Amino acid sequence: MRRILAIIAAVTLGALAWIQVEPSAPNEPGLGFSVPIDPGGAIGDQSVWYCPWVESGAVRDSTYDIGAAVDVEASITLPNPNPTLEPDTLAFVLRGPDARSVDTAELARRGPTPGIVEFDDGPAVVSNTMWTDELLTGDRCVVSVPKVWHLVGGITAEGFTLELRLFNPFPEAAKVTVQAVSEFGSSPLAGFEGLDVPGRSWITEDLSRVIPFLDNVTLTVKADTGLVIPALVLNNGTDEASWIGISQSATWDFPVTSVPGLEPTLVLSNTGNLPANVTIDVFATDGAMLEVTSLLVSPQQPVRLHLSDFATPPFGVRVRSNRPIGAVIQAGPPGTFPRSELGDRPDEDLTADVAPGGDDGDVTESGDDGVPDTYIGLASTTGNTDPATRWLLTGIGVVPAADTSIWLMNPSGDQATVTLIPLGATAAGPDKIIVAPGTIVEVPFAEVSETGLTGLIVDATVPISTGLSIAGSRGVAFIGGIPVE
Amino acid sequence: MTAILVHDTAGLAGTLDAIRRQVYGSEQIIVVGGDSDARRFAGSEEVEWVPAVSGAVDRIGTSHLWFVRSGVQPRADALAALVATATDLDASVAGSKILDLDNPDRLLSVGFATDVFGTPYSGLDEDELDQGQYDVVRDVAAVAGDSMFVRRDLARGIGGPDRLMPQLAAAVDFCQRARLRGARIIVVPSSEVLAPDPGRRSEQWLERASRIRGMLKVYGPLTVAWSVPAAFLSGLTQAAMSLLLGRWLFFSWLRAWGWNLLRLPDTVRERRKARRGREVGDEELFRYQVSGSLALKVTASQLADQVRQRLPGEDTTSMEMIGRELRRPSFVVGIGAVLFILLAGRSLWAVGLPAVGYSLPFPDSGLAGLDAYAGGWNPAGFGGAEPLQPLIALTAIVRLAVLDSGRLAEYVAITGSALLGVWGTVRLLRGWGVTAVAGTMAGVVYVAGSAAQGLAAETAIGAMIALGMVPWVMRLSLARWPATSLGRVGRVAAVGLTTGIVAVASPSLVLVALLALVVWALVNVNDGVAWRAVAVGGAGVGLALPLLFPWVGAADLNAFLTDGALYSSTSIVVAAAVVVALVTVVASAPVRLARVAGWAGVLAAGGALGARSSAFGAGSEIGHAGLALAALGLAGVTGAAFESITRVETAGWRRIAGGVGVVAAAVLVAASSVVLIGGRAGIPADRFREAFAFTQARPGDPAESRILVLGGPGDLPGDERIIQGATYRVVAAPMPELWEANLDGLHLADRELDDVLETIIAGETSRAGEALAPFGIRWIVIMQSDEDASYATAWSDRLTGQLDIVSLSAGLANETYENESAGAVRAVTSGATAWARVGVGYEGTSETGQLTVRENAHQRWGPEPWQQGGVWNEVSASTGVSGFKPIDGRRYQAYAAAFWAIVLVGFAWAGRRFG
Repeated sequence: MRRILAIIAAVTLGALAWIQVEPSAPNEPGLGFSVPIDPGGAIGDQSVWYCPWVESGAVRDSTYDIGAAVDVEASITLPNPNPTLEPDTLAFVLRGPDARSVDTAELARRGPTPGIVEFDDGPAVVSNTMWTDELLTGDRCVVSVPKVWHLVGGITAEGFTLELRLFNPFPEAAKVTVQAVSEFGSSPLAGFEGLDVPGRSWITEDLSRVIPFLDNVTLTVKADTGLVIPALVLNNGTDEASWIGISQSATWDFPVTSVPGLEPTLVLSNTGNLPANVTIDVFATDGAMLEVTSLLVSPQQPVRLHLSDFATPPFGVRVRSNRPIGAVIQAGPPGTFPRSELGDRPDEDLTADVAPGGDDGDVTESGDDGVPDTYIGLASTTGNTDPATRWLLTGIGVVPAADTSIWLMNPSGDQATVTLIPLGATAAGPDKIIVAPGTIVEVPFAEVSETGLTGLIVDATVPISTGLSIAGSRGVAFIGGIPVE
Repeated sequence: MTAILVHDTAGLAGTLDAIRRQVYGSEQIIVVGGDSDARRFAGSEEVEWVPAVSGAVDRIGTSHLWFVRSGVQPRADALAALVATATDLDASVAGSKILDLDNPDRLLSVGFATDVFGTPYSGLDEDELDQGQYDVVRDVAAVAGDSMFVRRDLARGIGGPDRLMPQLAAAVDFCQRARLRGARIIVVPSSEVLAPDPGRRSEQWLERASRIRGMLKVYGPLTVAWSVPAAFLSGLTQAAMSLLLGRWLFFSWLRAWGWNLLRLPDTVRERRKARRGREVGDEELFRYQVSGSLALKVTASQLADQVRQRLPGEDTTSMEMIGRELRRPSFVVGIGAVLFILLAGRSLWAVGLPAVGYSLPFPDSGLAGLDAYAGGWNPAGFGGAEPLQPLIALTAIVRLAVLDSGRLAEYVAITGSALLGVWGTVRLLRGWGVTAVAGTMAGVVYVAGSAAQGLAAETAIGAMIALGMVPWVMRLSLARWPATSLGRVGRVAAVGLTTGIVAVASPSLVLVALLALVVWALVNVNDGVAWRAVAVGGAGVGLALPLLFPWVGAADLNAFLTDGALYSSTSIVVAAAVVVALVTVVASAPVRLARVAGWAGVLAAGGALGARSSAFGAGSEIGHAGLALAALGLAGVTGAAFESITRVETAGWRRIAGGVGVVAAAVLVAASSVVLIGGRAGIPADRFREAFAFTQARPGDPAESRILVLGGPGDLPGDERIIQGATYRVVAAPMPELWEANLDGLHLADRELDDVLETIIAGETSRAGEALAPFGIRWIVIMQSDEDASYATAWSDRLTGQLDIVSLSAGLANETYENESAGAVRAVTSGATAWARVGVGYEGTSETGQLTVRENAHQRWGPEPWQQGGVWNEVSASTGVSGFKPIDGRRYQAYAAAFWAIVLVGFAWAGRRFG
């Protein structure tokens, strides 16, 4: 009997043990580990901005254009290509809201001077301008560093030189792989697999020699180890355009696409595996033209659209796509950019719908006499992925003898009341303007030597997009605005 | 002049006659010391009597004294030879050749060498005859106190022999003091003195105590600093080794140190006298000393002799006997089991415990471990005042017992426990009719079977150590009840002591033996012995609990028992083998064995339930106890299965069933051999040694900084902290130790680090190094997991874009970063000098300013003045040392626990010896 009882007890306990369920596995790393930060957006906290393409030497002048909405301690660090030498640094305090333009030559004048700008608080932003007697360029810097970058709009056709700058501001050496696609599909880049970029340094590769005679090149830069910030520098002999890499997005806003004398083009690139159905909206000074065109952008085949085919400049552009794509605006004198076949058009009806109320925009005149000047140059800019109600713009009026304008694009159906809060050594007070629904407005600014103003906080009652154009006898530069959280 | 030192008046008359017959007559004879008999005798012989040597020295006007011990008989020319040789060689102390009074051809002493502990070494074989082989005048460390010829001025300077010391120790001490004054000490073999053989006395506590006193008196501070602790450990080791010789020297050792403690003020006074006016240093004393510990060598030699005595002699009969012994299955199986354990632990011998999970090296100093346990600082993470687990005290004691060798201590603790476990299982099952072969098989399954492997896989080092003692608790509880009261008290004390060892090693296992006894009593419900064993086991648990102080008084026991989750799984083959063995043995074995198997089956199943009880809220500690119960159960099933097949009453279908049961049990034994792989006693392979070894190759002292370890659940050393589903913790560089395994709650610094990590994860800083430097974090290691790389990838993504941490990963198994920011140290002075961690304190260059100790702020950090600086401690840097002042209450509790352990040992010993 005891034997049976013992067996029953053992079996009962054993069965109880057997049916116990293994505790559930712990959760994967939480959301904080996986949310990427928009490389172009300013955040309301301490931040570090990376500016990859700047140069300062005997011929070239450049500025680090810094703006902050709050009090910040800022520090500019220019890594030295000689690893045994300390980097050049400049630390200062901005009593926000304020803006300051720092001449790169104050720190170093040794040619390429990519740099890092650190802020102990935010929102604070950085952009660069660079000029010589014969060229002018500019762009915003980036605040976060994804592993994969896309650089859209490269040209290696005759008359162009295209350089790829890979900036590694981090201590760890990076190993990157660069892949190119062009109008001919994938273009092999010999020697660009496992490319070493030393820590706290940079390399510059002349792509015109590696993949010559291409009209439309998109580069994908993938960091195998470490991280880099890439930028493209395009020169056509008369001017230079510089722009940084981007992530992909289903929406792109370009408030500035051209200045008088330049023909705007839009370059689209789909690096995914499926075709992207893309629609273009145009926002002119007198109203919106929605869906001026729709096209299928095939994978691995970048497309350039000549926007003057759809409307008369100036205008802003919104790009909508059913899949994430890359897009940049490039502008140059007519005939600068080769024409290529459009992608397959799903909708042959190219008739533009003019949005109602387009005539209500309050537009400032671009010149004293109301007649715009005509410029010769080359400009390129990346767009904004989302409209926002607050923007920080820097680099206003910093280029001597050049006309600076900010561009406000209201893609919404509501009127925007926009407050422009001047930053810098200026006594000017805020100014308010109205931007009608579906329109753009250009607001010109004089040189900093006249106004003391180097930056702006742009507050709007509805989400808008902003950009900056700098144009003069040296050339033309477009700089995207930076949204603020 | 001759002074006769009286120890015993019995031989005084003969000694006096012999002195009076000297051809070189003494000018004056004085009797020194002794009781009233000596005084009366001196009066009757018309020689002077003085109570102390100093009196004799003061009374004479001659240049030399001759100290002769009462009871000896110098030959007629003994003094003449001493005088002539000492004068010729300008020796200050001259001793005679000592021959056996009963056998004048036998040598007793021709001077001594000593070891550093003052133990004399004559160099003579036992019963060595005097054939003139040592008849040469030699410089020696010391001469026998039976006959010493001494310059009077020297005797006046250093005083006579120490009256607190016995004869031999006093002679050595006298000679050492004389040598400090630059005296030459020789032995003069032509001066022969017959003396009674003191006999081969066992180790005497007063001799030992006197030698310690002698060391304290003559050696310089530096030599005292290392030689006295070494003497302490050497004595403890000798006491432990002597157990194998059947001698109990522990109390002798303890008494010797206690005696010295009580007489410390007097010893200090004597030391001042001895070292005042010294002419030479310790190195002159070392010239006449042999290396090592003579006492240990003698004990080891005696052990070797004992082993030799058990080996066969030259005759055929003994060879046949040993042959028969060797062919006995129990002998073969026993040797096999020992070899199995040694093989299973071979890697522990080579490199110590693998650093993985909760298995970390023992703290780097036994004394520091005890100090930290007894109310000191808990160094886990950023530290705290929470008590360390008692395992730390146990490992510290083991470490001290093996001369503070960490690797040896780890090996001894794990393999020693396994051997004890096998032995204990054999003894336990023998009481239930299971013979040695089956018992040994059961023992192997007990310490290496799937349940024990579960403990090893959990890196439950404490439970693995405790496992070895559990069968002994049961064995002692079930053993025949002593007839006398003292014997019974001793038995209960022994059960309390063994239960205490289990509890100290792993508190959650304290009830395992009692539970097993209860189940045994239920299976044998009418057996009074079984129920008495339950009572004894219960009393043992009660007696064991005080040993857990101070930990048990301050620990959060609820958290201890519920933290963590264990879900032990075993292979289906092993589970099936257990079921088959259990059912067949219960069904077919004789009644007694069937009950053993039934008991074991209940334990195995109940233990398995305990090891999977996290759904009931049980923590990993309860899971460990479950595994220990299951291990006992598996051993019982195995033992019963192997035993049942040997029984003649197992016949017919029972034999067939028994055979099936044996096959199943053989599967359990075979499954135990898994622990042979790797030679780590089943513990997983090392992860952290390799991961953290790089710190020693980096510039600077790694002990000045910490390592931040990142990963996923289960990837890090010991306890982990969770942040957004991933894990992190800080550990000491170059290698975390066992006392860092268990983290407490979040304190100030922990919360601050948590905030910093949140900032890094959110991407809100690009200077993680700068943010981590104030925590003393110089390195960051991301532990890679073979099972899930997502955590490592997530951490890596967050650190790759940092501006001030440099990857060191080239050639390293784990992604590793070094902090470039300055000041990533654990303790730093206001002059920016880093101090290194030593034990749980800090040492560095003394400065006039403050020292910031980056441990969680606590007012007991010192030296004064202390103030809180943020989350850290700011103390004075003036002494070059900073430490945590122990919490008095806990320290007293630790003393009380130690005293209680001694009491239990005493009663257990007395009960066994006299009960």
